[in-house]
Amino acid sequence: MTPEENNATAVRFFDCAWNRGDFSVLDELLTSDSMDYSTLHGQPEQGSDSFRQIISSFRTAFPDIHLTIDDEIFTADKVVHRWTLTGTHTGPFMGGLPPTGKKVEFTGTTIVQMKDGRIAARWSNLDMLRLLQQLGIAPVPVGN
Amino acid sequence: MSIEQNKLNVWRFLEDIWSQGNLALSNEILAPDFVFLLGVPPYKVEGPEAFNQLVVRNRTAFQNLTYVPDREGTVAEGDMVAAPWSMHAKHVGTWAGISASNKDVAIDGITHFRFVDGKIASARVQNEALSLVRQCGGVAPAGEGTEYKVVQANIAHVRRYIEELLMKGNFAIASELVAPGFSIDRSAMPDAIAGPEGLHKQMDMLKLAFPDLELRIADLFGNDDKVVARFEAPGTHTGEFAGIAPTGRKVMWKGIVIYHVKDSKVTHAWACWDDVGLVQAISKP
Repeated sequence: MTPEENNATAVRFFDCAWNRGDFSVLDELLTSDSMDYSTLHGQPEQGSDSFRQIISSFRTAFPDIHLTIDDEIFTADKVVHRWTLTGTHTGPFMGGLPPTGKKVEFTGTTIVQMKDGRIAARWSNLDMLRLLQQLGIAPVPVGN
Repeated sequence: MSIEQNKLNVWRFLEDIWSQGNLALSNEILAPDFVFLLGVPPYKVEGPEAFNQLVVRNRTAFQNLTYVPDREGTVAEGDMVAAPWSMHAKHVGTWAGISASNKDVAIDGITHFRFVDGKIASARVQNEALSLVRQCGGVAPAGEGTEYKVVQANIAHVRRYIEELLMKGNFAIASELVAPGFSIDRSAMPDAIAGPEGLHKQMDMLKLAFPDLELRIADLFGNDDKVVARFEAPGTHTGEFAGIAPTGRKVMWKGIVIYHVKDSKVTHAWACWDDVGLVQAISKP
């Protein structure tokens, strides 16, 4: 696979999940032992189950949520996306927070490790602090 | 191993592995940390297994791929062998992003081999890559050939930036490492950290809260003018942080930072650190 083809696979994976809520293609884009090291989980997770749960909870809280990719960097076997998520908080979030009607915008960065045209591992960081601040529930201000 | 034996192994590398597809030979004549460098993507391949995958891909893209070493032109000295060769094949599958042209192609090249303990430790290919791109019907991209070196230099520069500024706090040399106007986007806060002074202040604040904070580079790579660093930063919470009194807890702060490098200086960075995870780790009961 060329780096461009790898990037197209990663774009498809995140576009289907975040922007369409379409989970049907996810697993075919992952290797059978694909790992997810997103900081949201707190611990490494295999496969796409925990990722689906996170997407579902975000799509419940922000039904119009939309992922925009701001930058793409791809090398032989890695794809990096810097992205922005926007949405309106019209549903319950994180188990309890009732809808605030607020529009939110926050960013994140994801590194994808590709193997034979499939996603073998993902590392995602997202700016939860920024999100929680916009929802008015930031735990505490941090540094800069 | 003798110089003559090294030459024989180089010819087997070209004829047996590349022309015949004898992948088992790779484990025999290549070092475990073998590095294959070339002027076209993927630029660099490490280890016999990844190398074999490249051989398979190219032998799939090029039917009857045949390398003919120039035996009389092969020169060897010490642990080095330089072997000129000719290649011919039919382009029947996607290569370097160019789909099958079904054209007969041929180029010349020379590969420099370095041996360690009788095994091939590295092979650096110099060939008519642009000619091959054109013969396959592709448009030769600008900057090809030097691109790999620029990317490697950018990565080395960012490693130095991380070591000197983030790890050692050596801000006296900041002007060697960052360009005028340098700033860091702290996730959704554009230019949250302005100039080396802003970064210095941020690092001082972190070191007060986590004096043993160690910004370990878990991954570092790049392409074009961007370098990506993934950090795993362990530290002990022995000073006040974000209004939270010292807990003595060991924490692991994780971050991904994208650096833009121009003319051997970092001009801008986009940092995404797991701040909420860090605060949760020191504030949970």
